[in-house]
Amino acid sequence: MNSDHFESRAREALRPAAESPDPRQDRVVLDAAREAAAEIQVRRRSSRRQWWVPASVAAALGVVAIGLWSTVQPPEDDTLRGSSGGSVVPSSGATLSTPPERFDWEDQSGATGYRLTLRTADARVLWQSQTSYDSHVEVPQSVRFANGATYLWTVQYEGPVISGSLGPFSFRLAAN
Amino acid sequence: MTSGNDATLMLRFQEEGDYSAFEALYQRHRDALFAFVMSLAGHRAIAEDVSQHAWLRLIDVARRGSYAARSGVAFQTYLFTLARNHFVDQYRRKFDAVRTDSLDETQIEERAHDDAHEDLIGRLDASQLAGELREALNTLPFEQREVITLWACGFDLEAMSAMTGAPPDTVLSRKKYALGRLRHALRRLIREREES
Repeated sequence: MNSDHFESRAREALRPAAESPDPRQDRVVLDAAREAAAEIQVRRRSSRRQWWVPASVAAALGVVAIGLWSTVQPPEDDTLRGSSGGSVVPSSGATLSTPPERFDWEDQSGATGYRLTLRTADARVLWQSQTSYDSHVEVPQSVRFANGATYLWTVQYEGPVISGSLGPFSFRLAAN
Repeated sequence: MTSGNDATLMLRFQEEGDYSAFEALYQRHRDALFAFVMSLAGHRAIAEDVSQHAWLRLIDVARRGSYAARSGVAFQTYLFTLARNHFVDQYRRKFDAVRTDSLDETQIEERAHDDAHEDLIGRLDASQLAGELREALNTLPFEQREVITLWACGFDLEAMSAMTGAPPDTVLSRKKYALGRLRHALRRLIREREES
């Protein structure tokens, strides 16, 4: 039997036979989908209503908000500013009174997994998370932070056709 | 039944909260995804968990509005990647602990020329061959087993590369050695049966 013939027979033989999961999966998945659909519809209706806000008022509010925001932002060290990533928690450059219990970042389109790396200011790796399917991770209690120290964190993300990273972002723990 | 291509249905669910669009997607891919995971895991309970997790994760992606139809990847590849990643993260170590077979490349090349049992392989009927191959598949290292499973599901090289995160050349190489190992394992199984 030549190699091509073996390959085609093997491919045919190994093609997974149609098989259904337990019917309980149908209930769990479809219930979750129904719930999500309802949530999305509510959000959609709510965002539609926002269109009734006159554009001029919205624009004026926007200008005021940007003005206020720019006056309350502390100056940031450019070397510590995140390269991208939109809103993150803790926000980059923040000074925290207690160690962070969790890190949040924005979902990246097409990403199926995220991994966070936490470093000290001298770039030593303090902790690396397992792959997370969500755009946040909880910090285990075993991670030790020092008061007054600055930390950096980055997030690597990956999907079927994309990969990239967010950050570095920084935060500092108050001296006490 | 709601119609439309996969990406359109997913976007209708994500953007409009169209439940029937999701239901159509689910009916369309439920069994194929489960069969794929069954082949990968070889264990029904694990396949149930991985398959359900992938669907729930997909719903979460839609809820966050982060599914991108123009990211260049087919919906099915995206869905299967969610399942594959969960399986790798949660179960691969356990699987690796029980796999046993080992055969270096030289042995494969040498034995590829051993025709003693080729005719017997050729004479196996489809169901016998499937049974023997599945048993042999379970002995492969995970990376090779995964590529063969995706290949048998009909994914092309580009999709296999995207899903496994391995370059196309690596995927081709894994497939080549996996087929060599399958051939060898098949001959060994047949020989053992003849001798017993």
